[in-house]
Amino acid sequence: MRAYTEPWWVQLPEGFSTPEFDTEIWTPRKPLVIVPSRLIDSSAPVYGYGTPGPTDNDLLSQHDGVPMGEHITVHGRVTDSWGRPVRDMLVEIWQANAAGKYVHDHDPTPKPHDPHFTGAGRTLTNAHGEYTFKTIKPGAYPWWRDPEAWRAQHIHFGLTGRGLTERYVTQMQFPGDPLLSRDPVVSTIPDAKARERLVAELDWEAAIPGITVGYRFDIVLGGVHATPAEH
Amino acid sequence: MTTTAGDRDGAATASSDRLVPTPRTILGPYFTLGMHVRPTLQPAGHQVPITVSGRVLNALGEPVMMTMVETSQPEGWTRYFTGLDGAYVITTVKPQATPGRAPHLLLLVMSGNFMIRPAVTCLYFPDEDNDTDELLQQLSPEQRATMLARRTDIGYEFDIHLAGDSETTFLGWPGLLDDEE
Repeated sequence: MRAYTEPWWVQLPEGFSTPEFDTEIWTPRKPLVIVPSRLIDSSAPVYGYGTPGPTDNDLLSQHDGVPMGEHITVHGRVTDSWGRPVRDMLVEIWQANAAGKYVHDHDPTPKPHDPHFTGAGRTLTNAHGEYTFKTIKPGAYPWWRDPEAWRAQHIHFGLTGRGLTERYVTQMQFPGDPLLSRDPVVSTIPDAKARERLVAELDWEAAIPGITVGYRFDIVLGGVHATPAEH
Repeated sequence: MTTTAGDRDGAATASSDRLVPTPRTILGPYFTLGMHVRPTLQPAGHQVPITVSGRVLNALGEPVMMTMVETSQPEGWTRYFTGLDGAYVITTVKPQATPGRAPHLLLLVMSGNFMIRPAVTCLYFPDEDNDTDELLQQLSPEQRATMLARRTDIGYEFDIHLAGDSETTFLGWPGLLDDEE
């Protein structure tokens, strides 16, 4: 039986004053029991109750008014690590408004809400693994666990595949953001190439002239039993 | 080849060309804004609705809040988030036995603040014949015991112990180990 060595949590690097996280108390200590894939296969449909509506991926039009901030188009492709597109994945995003404030009771940031922006969107990847959102560039905000850390501008991504085994949570950062080096989540990624994966690229082809700036954020799934779109 | 024309990354053609995976990150404290709750799977036809509830607990037996709990089965899936009391409650349908497998729910748990990947286990039912289940047969009695729900007046109860002496048996499978290569 192989022991499972991937971490549940990544400790913050030096330079952040956050107290050590006690993994003994909060995360599993025993190695995973490795079982054959055929025994764990459960392909539940992602459709039904959770099916996105046609405008769920346009965060600019979810209210009567126009949201504050820089309007952007975010698009990209979801693939496995072989470059094969992953279709029909439910992509859910959540983010702060332009002031760095979330529509969430737990957000302690003393910043204003935007009555015209919620910050939640969802869509399904198409046959080529592609998704698109229209939204605003979120504001940065101080991190509640460490006053010396800031969350750089970012959009959270939650991906849900057909099986329960296909769950992936990541986030998109913005290129050229000077706060990337002070961001505790980005800083936990030890490998520079992997860190770069979190940073979207400016994509003028995806921009809507005069309306949005375009960004491309491709997502490469690793460590999941991803289902390729075509064989 | 399986990719579409016009890929910017191009498709990997040999194992040395495999793409660097996008790092996993935590859900963070605000994930309920974007990831929708769906605590009920509506029964269809002759499916029997059941309620499954329990708590997510740490090694000290304390409730773990802001944690995503999902169930999955061929009939569909549910999703719930724990609050201060660490409790979850979902309504789904009783799964069917399949060849080699007793009725079970796949159950996923991922804490918002400190887990970058979900932990997965199987929930089994005390009122079913579990002896012939091929997965349970591979496990010790102690491991099996952590995967068995309790019958209650309103349905089934299943606490998830993330750590500690009572740690739930969590499962991996070969596909999960891709990034060790």
